[in-house]
Amino acid sequence: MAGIYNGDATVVRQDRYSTNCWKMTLAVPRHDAVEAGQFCHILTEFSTDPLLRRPFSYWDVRDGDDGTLHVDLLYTVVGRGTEAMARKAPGARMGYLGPLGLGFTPKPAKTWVFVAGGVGIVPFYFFAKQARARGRNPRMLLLFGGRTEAMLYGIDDFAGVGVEAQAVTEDGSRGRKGLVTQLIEEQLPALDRKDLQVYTCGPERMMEAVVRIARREGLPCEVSMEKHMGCALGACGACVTRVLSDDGADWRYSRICIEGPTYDACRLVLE
Amino acid sequence: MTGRPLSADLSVTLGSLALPNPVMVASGTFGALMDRVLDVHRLGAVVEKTITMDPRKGNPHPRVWETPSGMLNSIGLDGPGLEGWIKKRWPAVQEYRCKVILSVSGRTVEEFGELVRRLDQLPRVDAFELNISCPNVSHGMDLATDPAMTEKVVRVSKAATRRPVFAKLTPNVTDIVAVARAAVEGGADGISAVNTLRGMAVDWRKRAPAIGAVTGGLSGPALKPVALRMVWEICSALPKVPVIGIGGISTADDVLEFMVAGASAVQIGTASFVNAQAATQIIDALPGKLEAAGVSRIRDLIGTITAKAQKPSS
Ligand SMILES: Cc1cc2nc3c(=O)[nH]c(=O)nc-3n(C[C@H](O)[C@H](O)[C@H](O)COP(=O)(O)OP(=O)(O)OC[C@H]3O[C@@H](n4cnc5c(N)ncnc54)[C@H](O)[C@@H]3O)c2cc1C
Ligand SMILES: Cc1cc2nc3c(=O)[nH]c(=O)nc-3n(C[C@H](O)[C@H](O)[C@H](O)COP(=O)(O)O)c2cc1C
Ligand code: FES
Repeated sequence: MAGIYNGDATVVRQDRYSTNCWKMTLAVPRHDAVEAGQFCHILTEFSTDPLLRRPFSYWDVRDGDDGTLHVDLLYTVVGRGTEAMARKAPGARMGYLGPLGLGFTPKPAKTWVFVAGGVGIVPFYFFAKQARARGRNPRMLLLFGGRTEAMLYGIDDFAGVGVEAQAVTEDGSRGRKGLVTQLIEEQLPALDRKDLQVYTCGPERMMEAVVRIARREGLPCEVSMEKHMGCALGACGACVTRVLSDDGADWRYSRICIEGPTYDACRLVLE
Repeated sequence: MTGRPLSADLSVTLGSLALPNPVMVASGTFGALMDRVLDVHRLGAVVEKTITMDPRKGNPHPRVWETPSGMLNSIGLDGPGLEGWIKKRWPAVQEYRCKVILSVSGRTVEEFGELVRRLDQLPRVDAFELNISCPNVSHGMDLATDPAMTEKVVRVSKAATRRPVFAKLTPNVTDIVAVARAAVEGGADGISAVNTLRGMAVDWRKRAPAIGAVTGGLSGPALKPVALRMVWEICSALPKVPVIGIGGISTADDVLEFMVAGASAVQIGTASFVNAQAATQIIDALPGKLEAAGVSRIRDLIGTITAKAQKPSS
């Protein structure tokens, strides 16, 4: 089925990925092709409390052997909605709306650097996989920061899609001890800055730091934003971030669910 | 749906405005890509996001916060302004085959009139809704908390159009009947009740309010009993005035409750965020509910509640 699908999804699998992180496979009817960086809006319970949907990036999307589309979500439990998700067993149903938003732009640069923090890692696995499947061959380098090793979600899966992964942790349990921004500063001198594209997703303050570095170094950078959402269809105005106005003279609020969540860092107005 | 087609008559009228069914989508909860998922043409009507004279940026993020069986919003009437709306939104809206109601909000009484006058020139607008009740822009003082102001705004707006004008009221008042009465005095063809209820959420760990604008408007199922009570009060006091019930409606039963309490039609807001097709699924569910109750015309239910409010609460 083409278009945005709004309806039930069935849980096919659910595995604990690390302490607080789960991977869930959903079966949904075939819908519009998913571009890496897009997201779906999940109704975790058919109830009035919790009431609203929760947005999740696609970790992976495959054709299922049963004629459905299999969608993998990787998520951390942070509140009631994600707690409800973690309790779901195969066969359980949830509401699904997707695919939504605009994906990453695969740029012609020779080297792609993914800078991720925490669950901000999610869109990069599918981005790398999809780019490889479409015959794109940039060198892909993942710089991944987490508080501890257990929070470097899915890091070991990246070798399989041709991504070199480097980690930093705040407690030094894996990789260097420190922050991902320090890792970028260290790596930069060894990279050909004229042929580099940065993509980043993670906690807001991390992304802001990455954007500042990219601006200082004149590096093109695409950012995937995270904001609280209502409708996820551009109707309610919940999910705004500041971007330059179209004439560049002022700023305006942009609804990340339809104009994002991915943005060229040049357009963002940091708050 | 399965089985034989259900035949209950869902049509209703709001004064001179005839609708094929009583279900509309509420202002500010519909727009942009929603029509890719929702079959708009099947709705009773679309109520557009409130249009203001000048573009408005709206309030800072976070603008929504989930609360028990509801949500707070402090969007702050963001929008492209009158000219921007006509340029960006009208081309899509004029293609809708359902009725189209435009919502307007002015900073002054005169601006309401001006907005209605300008929008009245568009070829296929079916009615206006005056948003005199947005809790997010008025610093707590909504026009619709003041009966005299309400009457003035409606009068000026009515003078600017021959199409039906509905006044959308705030629940943030002690006596909603007084405000409804004033709107009718001013010439309103009907009342939309209600807008959101002012509320607040606190993140105690941060010692901070949860939403950017500190307070926001409560909507969703948590609002329903309050909205239902107010619709019932207005309909009891002003039985001839068409009322559009709004607040927490998410099922066909909710619709029928509002209609029995006196509403001639309803609007679906927050439920469209929970399920973008909520409005059409509710329309689909109505005939079965009516048949099961032996009701052949939905309009026969309007105001049939056995209890009438004696006098407005004070
Ligand atoms: C485009 C997009 C893609 C996302 N992809 C993923 C993903 O792949 N994996 C994943 O684990 N999470 C992802 N998130 C975040 C995820 O939506 C939230 O963690 C989830 O909604 C929390 O729901 P909850 O009921 O468990 O928490 P709640 O009880 O609602 O909130 C718990 C905490 O999380 C914060 N929070 C809630 N919703 C959001 C939100 N939308 N954005 C930022 N903070 C929020 C709250 O402020 C609060 O501090 C994504 C968010 C966006 C906007
Ligand atoms: C995000 C959001 C934005 C809204 N914007 C408007 C608006 O622009 N104009 C208006 O008259 N009402 C606005 N409302 C109020 C709704 O139209 C409706 O009156 C209210 O949400 C109660 O209905 P509900 O419980 O079905 O959502 C908004 C509500 C929400 C949740
Ligand atoms: S979530 Fe409603 S506009 Fe983005």
